[in-house]
Parts: sequence; structure tokens; C-alpha cells
Amino acid sequence: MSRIVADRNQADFEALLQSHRPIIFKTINTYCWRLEDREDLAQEIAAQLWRAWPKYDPSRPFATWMYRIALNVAISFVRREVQNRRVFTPLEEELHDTSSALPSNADAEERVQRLHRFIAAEPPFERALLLLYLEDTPQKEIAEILGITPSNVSTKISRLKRRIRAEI
Amino acid sequence: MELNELKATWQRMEEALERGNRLSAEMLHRQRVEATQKTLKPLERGQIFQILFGVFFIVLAALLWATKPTALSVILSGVSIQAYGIGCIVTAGLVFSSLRRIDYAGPVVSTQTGLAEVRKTYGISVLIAGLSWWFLWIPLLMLLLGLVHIDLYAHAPSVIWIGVVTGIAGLFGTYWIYRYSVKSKNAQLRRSVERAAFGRSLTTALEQIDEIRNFEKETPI
Repeated sequence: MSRIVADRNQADFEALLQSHRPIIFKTINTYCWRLEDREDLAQEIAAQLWRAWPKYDPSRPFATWMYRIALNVAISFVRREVQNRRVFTPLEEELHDTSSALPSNADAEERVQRLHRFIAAEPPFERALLLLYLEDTPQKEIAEILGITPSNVSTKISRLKRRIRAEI
Repeated sequence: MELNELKATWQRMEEALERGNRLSAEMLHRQRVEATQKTLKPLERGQIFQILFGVFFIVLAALLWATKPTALSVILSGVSIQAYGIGCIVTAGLVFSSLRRIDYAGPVVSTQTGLAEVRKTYGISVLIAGLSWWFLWIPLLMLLLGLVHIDLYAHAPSVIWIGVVTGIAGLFGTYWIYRYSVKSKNAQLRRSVERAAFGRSLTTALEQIDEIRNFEKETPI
């Protein structure tokens, strides 16, 4: 009986995971550009999600829970990789890995490159905030995911918007 | 770039990356994830190494006990080495269990603070373990000689006293260099000494804690 419940649980989770997988891929796109890193990070996030699933509280929104795990794993991953390599991969090299997938329109490509550079220059926490802002996540939910007050989220977003206008 | 343009660009970038992605839905399946998650993370590997290091010292002490030493100095050297070995294992175990208790589903700031605190604990234990070598080589040498029934304290006590004085001088020297670098205006020197004295783990952990505090801080626009 418990085996059947466990199997059903696993199937439910698999379905939820697949329907929310853009959260994982968007998080990866915010933190990694090298192909091998992207695959490693995807695996780490998925592993952590599977590990945390038995403790998931269904009364809480699944997307918030998933964002928290994806961002926590991504931030730890980026810190570890930078520390281990000790040398930053030049951004141009990272961009080269994805350049074949970028739009062919020169103007659009230029904008994407500028956004890419802006994201890459941001510290890990600001990148998380930027991702959630670009995804139109409500400020209350951003506060819940990041663990800071809604007023702090609002202040940081205002500052971020000003910098985006000035720097990109 | 205006904000509506920015969001449109973000969307385009996402779509483009999605098209060029080797990342697939397949990667999220449980079996696939379990098959690839066999390796340990560096901090966990560090703990395994530390446990093995501790076991090595306990084995050394056990070899000494097997020779049934009678000289008090040799017995004390064995006790010191065994205590060091146990200390290595206990601190590694504590860091390991703290790592396992970290809740990745928690709010990002608190989970990252928890991780940085674990790294800080690990860094402090490495610092203590490292600094203790200014003195620890003395009981280790006494123990190794004790294994072949030589009592270093009885034969050449000056070696031990010179070692103790050198250790104290070394410890003060390390502290002086650190104080000098803290007051120095040369940021490069300050950073290098900090890393050399505290080790990479502790310095990085302290930097991360600062970064988190700054992010949490509410500052007016």
C-alpha cells in the first residue's frame, strides 16, 4: 500500500516538475553560460528538488518552493565553481558557447549581448532579484523567495530599474 | 534600454537559449538524476579527507599504545596526538551533519547564511588545526621515536624546549604579520595575508556573510 502511495507521489512530483521546468532553465540561464556548467547545474537542482520533495508542504505554492531550491543551488554552484577555478572564464568565451543560439537580427543580438553582460556582472543575490523581476514575479512572492522584506524588495527593484536604464 | 524593451530582450534571450539548449526534460527524471549524483561536493570531500587524517593520527597513537610506553613524556605525546585525531574527526562530523541539515527549500538569504556559517565553522576548525602545528610536530616526533622505544625528552630535552620557544615565536610572528597587514594601506597585501593566515574557506565564508548582510540591509533609495 505504502509503495503505491510512494509511486503515486513520485508520479505527481514528476508531473509538477515537468510543468514547472522553465523555472529551472531560467535559473540556469541567469547563472551559467558554459554548456557543461549548465548541464551540471540542471542535475544539481533536479537532485535537490527530488531530495526536498518528501518535505514539501502542498499548502504552499509549488513555484515559490521550486524557485527557492533552484536559486539556492545555483548561488552555491556559482560560488563553488568560481572558488574552484579561481580564474574567471572570460565573458566572451562564455557568450561564444551560446552565441549560435542568439537571434540573427543585429540590433536584437546587440541588446541580448548587453543584457547578458549586465546579468553576468551582477553579484549572485542581485541576479536572483533580476531574474524574478524579469519574470514579473509579484514583489510579495519575491520577498518570500529571497527572505527579505517586501519594502526592501521594492527599494532594490527601484534601484535596479535605475541602473538598467543607465547601464544597458 | 527601457524596461519594456528589456523584458522583450529577456524573452528573446530565453527563447534563443531554449532552442540551443542541450538541457532537456529527460535530465529531470529521478533515475537520471540519481545516476549522476554520485560525486561529493568539495566541502564534503574536505570532511572525508579530515576524517581520514584524524584516523591516521589515532592509528599512530594506537601503535604507540601497543608498545606499552612507560615514560610519562611519551605517554603525553600519544595522548596529544590521539586527542588531535579525535578532534579532526569530531569537527568533520559536526560540519558534515550541519551541511546535511541545510534546508535548500528555505528563503534564499537564510539558506545561504546557513551555508556560509557552516563554511565559517569549517574555516575556524582548519585555522585551529593549522596553527596547532606550530607545536604539534613536537609530540608527533616524540611519538614516532617512542615507537622505536626512544624517549626524546630523556635524550634531548633541548629539542623540545627549542621547539616550544619556536612555536610561541611562530604564533606571535603570525599574529604580528596579521596585525601589520590589517593596518597596512596595501589592500593586496592585506588580502594575501588574510588568505594565508585564515585560509581560503574562512575568508570566503566571511566575505559571503558580509555580502548577505549587505543584501539584507534596508537602505533608502
